[in-house]
Amino acid sequence: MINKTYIFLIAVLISAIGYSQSTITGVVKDESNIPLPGVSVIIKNTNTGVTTDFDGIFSIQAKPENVLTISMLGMVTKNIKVGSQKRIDVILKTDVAQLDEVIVIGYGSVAKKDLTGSVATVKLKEIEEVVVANFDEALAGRIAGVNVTSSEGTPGEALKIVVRGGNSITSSNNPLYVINGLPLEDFDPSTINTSDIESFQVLKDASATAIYGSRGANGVVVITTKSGKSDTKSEVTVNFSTSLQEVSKTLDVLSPYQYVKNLETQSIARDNWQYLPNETGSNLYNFMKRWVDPELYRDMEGEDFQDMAFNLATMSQGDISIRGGNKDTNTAFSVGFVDQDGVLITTGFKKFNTNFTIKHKLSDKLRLWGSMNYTKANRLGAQMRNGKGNQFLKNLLFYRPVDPLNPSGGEQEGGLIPGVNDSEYQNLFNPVEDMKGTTRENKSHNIRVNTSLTYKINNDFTFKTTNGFNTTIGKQELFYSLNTQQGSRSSNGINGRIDGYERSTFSSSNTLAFNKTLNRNFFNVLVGQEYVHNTNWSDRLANKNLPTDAFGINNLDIATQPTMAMTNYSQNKLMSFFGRANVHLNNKKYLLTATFRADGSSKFRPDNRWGYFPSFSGAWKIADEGFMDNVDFVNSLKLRAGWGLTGNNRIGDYNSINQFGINIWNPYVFGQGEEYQPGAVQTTFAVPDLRWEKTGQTNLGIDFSLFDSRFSGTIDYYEKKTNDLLLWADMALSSGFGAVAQNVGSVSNKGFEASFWGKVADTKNFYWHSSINISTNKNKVLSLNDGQEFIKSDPGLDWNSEYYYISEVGKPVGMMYGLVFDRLYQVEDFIYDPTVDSVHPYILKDGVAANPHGQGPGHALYVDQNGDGIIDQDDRVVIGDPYPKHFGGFTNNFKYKDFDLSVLLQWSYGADVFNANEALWGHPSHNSSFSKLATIADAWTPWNTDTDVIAHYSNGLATWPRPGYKGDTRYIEDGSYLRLKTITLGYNVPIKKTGFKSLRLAVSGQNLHTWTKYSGFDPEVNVGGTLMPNLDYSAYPKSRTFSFSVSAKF
Amino acid sequence: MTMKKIKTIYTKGLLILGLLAICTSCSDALELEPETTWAAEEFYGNETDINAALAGIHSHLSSYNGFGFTIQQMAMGTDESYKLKSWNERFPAGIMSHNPASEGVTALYQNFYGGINNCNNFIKYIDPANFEEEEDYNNFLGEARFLRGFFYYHLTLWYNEIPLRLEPTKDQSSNHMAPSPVEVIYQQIIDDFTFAAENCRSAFDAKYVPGHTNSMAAHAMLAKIYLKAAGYPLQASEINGKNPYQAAKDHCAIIMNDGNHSLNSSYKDVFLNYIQNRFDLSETLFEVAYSNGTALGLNIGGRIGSFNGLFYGINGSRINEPVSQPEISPGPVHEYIYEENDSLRSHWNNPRYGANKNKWNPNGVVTPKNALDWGYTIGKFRRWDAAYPWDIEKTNEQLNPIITLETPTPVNQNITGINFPLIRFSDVLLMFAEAANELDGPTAEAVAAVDLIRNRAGIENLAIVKPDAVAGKDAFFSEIVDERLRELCFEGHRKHDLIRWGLLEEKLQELYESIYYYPAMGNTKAGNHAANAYKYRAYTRFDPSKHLSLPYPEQEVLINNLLDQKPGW
Repeated sequence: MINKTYIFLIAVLISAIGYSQSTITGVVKDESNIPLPGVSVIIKNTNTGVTTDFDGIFSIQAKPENVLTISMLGMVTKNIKVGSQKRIDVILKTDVAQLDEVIVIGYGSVAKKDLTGSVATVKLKEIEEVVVANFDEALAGRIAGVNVTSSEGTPGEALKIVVRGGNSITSSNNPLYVINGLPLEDFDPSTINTSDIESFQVLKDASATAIYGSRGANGVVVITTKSGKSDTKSEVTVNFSTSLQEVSKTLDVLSPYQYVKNLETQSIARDNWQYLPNETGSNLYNFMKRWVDPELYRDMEGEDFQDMAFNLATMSQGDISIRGGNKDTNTAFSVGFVDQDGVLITTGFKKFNTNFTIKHKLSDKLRLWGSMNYTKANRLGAQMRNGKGNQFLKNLLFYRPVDPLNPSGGEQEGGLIPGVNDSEYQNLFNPVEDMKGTTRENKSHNIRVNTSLTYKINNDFTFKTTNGFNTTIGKQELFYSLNTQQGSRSSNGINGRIDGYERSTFSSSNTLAFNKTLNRNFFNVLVGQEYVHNTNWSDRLANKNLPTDAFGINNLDIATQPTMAMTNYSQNKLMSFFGRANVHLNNKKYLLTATFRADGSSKFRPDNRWGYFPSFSGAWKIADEGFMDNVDFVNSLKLRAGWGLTGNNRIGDYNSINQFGINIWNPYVFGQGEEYQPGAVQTTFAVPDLRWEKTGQTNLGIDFSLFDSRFSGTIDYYEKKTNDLLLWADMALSSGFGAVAQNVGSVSNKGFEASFWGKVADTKNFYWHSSINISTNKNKVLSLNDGQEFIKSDPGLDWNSEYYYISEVGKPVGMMYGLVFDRLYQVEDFIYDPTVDSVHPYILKDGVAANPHGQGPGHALYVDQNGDGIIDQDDRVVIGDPYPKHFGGFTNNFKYKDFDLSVLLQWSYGADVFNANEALWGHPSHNSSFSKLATIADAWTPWNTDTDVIAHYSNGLATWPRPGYKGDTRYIEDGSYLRLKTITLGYNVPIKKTGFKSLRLAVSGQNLHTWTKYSGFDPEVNVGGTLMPNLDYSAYPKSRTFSFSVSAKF
Repeated sequence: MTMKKIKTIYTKGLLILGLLAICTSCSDALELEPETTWAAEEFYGNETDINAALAGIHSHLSSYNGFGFTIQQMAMGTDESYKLKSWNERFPAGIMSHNPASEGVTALYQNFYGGINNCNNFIKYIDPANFEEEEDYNNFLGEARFLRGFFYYHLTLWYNEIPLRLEPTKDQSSNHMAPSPVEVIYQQIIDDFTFAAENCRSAFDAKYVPGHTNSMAAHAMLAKIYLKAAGYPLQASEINGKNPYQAAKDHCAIIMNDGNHSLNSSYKDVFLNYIQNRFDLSETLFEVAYSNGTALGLNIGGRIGSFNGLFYGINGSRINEPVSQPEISPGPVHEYIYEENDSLRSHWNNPRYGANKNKWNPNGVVTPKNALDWGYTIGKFRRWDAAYPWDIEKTNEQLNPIITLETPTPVNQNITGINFPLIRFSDVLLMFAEAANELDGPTAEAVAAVDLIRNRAGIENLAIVKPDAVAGKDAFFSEIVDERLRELCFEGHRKHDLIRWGLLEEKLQELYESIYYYPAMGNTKAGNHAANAYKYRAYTRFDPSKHLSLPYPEQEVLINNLLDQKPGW
């Protein structure tokens, strides 16, 4: 090789003497000093160029003023001015920013460097290394502008993915998923085996999503699965992991001593704070007959129901995939399983996936691709919330930790008797027994088949048809055995229910693409048509009062009390026409994209059926301009700008049609025999002008890569405005309807998002790559229903209705709403005068705000906002903001010899959490024998006045907060957190001549530690939906996971 | 033009035509009809649909948010009863602590306006061409108009001025409608009931099916709306061109002279008929019908007798037990308002005992209760009775002391089939007496009407027992005020009677005094007064400037631009 170089060198020297255009030679190598063949060496701004030979050597005629552009896929492009050099040796560095990476956009793909829109990609390696049941659990903190949160910790539950803030208020904010070209509105992440994913991209701005038109408004998640390998030896990959999970925190509850002490305090309070241990019939007397003396319970251990309900749980998962093929055909086949026990007993998640993909070249012009995927998923176990009065967590917390020493004492004398005069008794049953006696299982089968046929008509035209379907057939089984609250205390007795469903999407899309390069300009035009048909079937089988629970759900026909069978069916269709033009001018220096889509939906009446969604965007690659030639440290710099319109039609299938229907809630009985007559009422009131919801979005972005791509980043700013919101909007109740689907109001979202990558160190034995992303979003309600200034929302936490959230014009959607807590009323606020009314002897002094429900020492005193001297529901204000100021993730990957380590930190800063557990269960009661949260041990008493926890009973009045008074600032907590989300330590076993291609062992941890001031289970919680964000109420606690995994390739 | 060009044009033309064809066919393909409901224009086509529509409208009466629960809860807050649960402030209108967003204030309004919208659809779309006999058409139309009048009557009792909607809801602009003055509303109610009185079948017609409305029920409702017009808030001396008392009296007289209506000889049997699913069409002109359909999985049962039943608490399995989880206790006034010989009614309405079943009393035990005891409840709609009532000594502890009254058995623990009376003949008699007294004082016919009720209860004529009561108009009025409580208590009349008479404040004072000075309170245990204060919450919180009608629901005020909240709310 040295000889060869030598000869070239001499030749160059000779020729340089006589010509201004001289021959330049050189060698292109990579960072490890290995020559790179096939590297293109082009004289900038011309079509003249050569490629390096097998030894990385090139030779080219160039003038001294020329700039050579040396580029190769996956490497950082270098521009070098020729000048007086005759010999130019180049080292190309690996492109960490991956500007050549192919990005799958709607109905096509484009190199990352040629994108005009905002698209985020997630590196598969990062997801793969994290041991989670479904891939979405690994996404949190990894994508700027995409908020991936779990509403709670239920095993196998799909996470919430919100792209750039929620547009819709009452309809879904879920993005559209496009799986290998098949668009799915309701996608279950469990139906993909994580290690089958080839690429994962999120289309964020309108210029990227408008090609999906009506369904692009919430962003689009594009997932492509792995195909086989062409013309190579088949590769087998085996992954296996096993994990242990534990609940990361439990709530503080009363100890047995505190519990009994609390009952004693309650009795004394009910005797109007008089100490009457010896007076027959007094509350304290009754208490002592039954419980004797609190001191006797001081050292008792009692029962810790949280401890009994939460346990150490295992998870194991594994998969095998085989990929291989010849020149014309390749296939990929995989099977995988997950078997996860929940940290809450009886809960769990099991799935089994199998996937088969084939790619076949029928001829030079015709290519076939097909994929079949089957997933069986079972989600097991208790639901945390079973309706207004019945929350599992409440049952755990309320159940008394200790039994009375003298159980029969007091029961006959008018003390609190469960089942007789103790409130809420019906909702309580030994919660652990109840869980064990209840079988709940959601079993589903998902089948997804997708095919595509690509026909290359000639050099310029390509036709592609993609046809596929996704069908989920499943059933939710629920069975209560005898040893449950339902089975033994309710009129339903032993009972079971099966809710079946079948949801199906069929989709067909057909596109014609035109590609042409003319001089230095490139044109790409695509037109297409799409048809989507969704069907939805549901049914219910239920029987009650079974004579035995011996057969469980499998023999419901032995029931003595049948219930009516129910079925339902609905469908919707979508017909679309779309087109896109990409124009790359002047050697891709200027990039322009325009898209247009027309969507017709069966959900709307003919007059409003069609929606039209255009978008325009452009990019300018500044680094390619001549004036940047001398700026060496910039490898790439691109400015992007775009605008587009997207839509939303996520309402019921027939909301636009006035309907009358028979439903089970409206029957009547007529005749001497009181015979059943099914009743029909107007079930749907359709506003005549129901139409598409539309979101306009503007995006400005900049992509850059500096210092040989050692440091690169992307920064975006966006503004979105959603008009004609499809809102489940309130009606005047006198219309006979509470709320109907209407197009009212508008919402805006704006924000910044930024991602940066950097190579901190990069040597042969050690590297350290670091990346960080940060996002902000500001959401604002611009207008609501005709004349409506706000929507108040009731999460339905208990039997009393209460508006805990408000969405006001001019403010973000779903702010926490309530009174501002000032302090407790104290004795000094009153004049004590038992002569007027011995029951209510405390008379409020002038100047202290009054509560119309009555007040006494130990009642809560709130801030009288309007200064009218009375605290009522008009004094409620916004008391909490559920939106973070910023959120993001920080990833560091290290590699030392055969070891690698990756650490992900994830944070959210500035969001409030509404701790509804405390709001409902953190204050004492005057009339129940149930336990509560530990907070109530600090309740106000005449001997404990320096506290914020209300008294049990005072001034002849119960103190508990009435409707209109239930949400206050005491329950709004700072939900900022920094979480050590994932740590993975891997060891790549050095294997030589073992037959393995690679063998990797790893230990990893998930949710290892969370730094937060929040007092509940976890600050990342959201059981309330869009209108009621960051609501913590009987949520499934998050778990901490430790895993060991093995991964082998051969 | 070369062949090639022609071919190109031809091909392009075909392509364009093809695209057009796709577009047309796709518009058709996007035309989907609901799979499980009727589109509005197809409904009311035949008698099956009409029967379903009528059942649907009736279901607004029977629903939880109608007479099934909500109205009964809100009807508390008079001398008649107090709310039994100290901790429970659901449906706060019964304890005067409601606000415009309270559950009952909203639920009743929405439910009955839902019924009105269904009536308006029915009235608008029912087509006479679908009927062979005009009489049948008019009967159906009359039924829908009766029900619309009935919803409006109850809405105006609770809310006074309300939007008067006579057309189905059309679009968003339907949100905005101003409330009408009560006089206009009363007039509309009179028109609807007049049509029903003239066109509905008699309950004694061969084709009549019990549960439906009938012409005499419409007459009774006319009497009711005229009496309401004569009282608070309108205090009309003339409405619909008539003296309201005269009109009320005339409509009552029509019923009394019809020949079909009379009092059941036994007061207790009147209620046993409701409890045991028998229609007594002479005593009861209109009632809400329920049937315990749980055994068949049908959602047609109610809660009458459960939340307003005789207390029966169980510590353990409640399956097949006539459980009562009561919400309502009689006011202590029931302990002294009945005459000494009026024990039949006194004991039926106010039994003064309750039952428990627990591990110490596996067969249950019946215990006497006084008016301040926990579990002191009303007995009118009892699901069970004591085998040994409180004044009969128990002879055998082992025998089951509890008899289930409700049929069919086994009963459901929560859902009952007990009907709830809306118009009884004794109500008609008392309205007649009241109207006649207002017109001419205690005339013989007025006193006779009251005596019919007394005699059925087993007590002598008024002139013999209480001659003072028939001595003058005021005295006789006072007698009617008490008599309506004794005869019709817990049937949803008291609050509205007191409001139209202007007596609510006075009678709440009586509730307070009857509790505060209750004899058992006398040997006061410390804390007793405090512990019982919740029983007269309705009195403590009563504000006469606000509590004679309900506020408009918050949502109505927010959305309906032509309606403002009432002052003070």
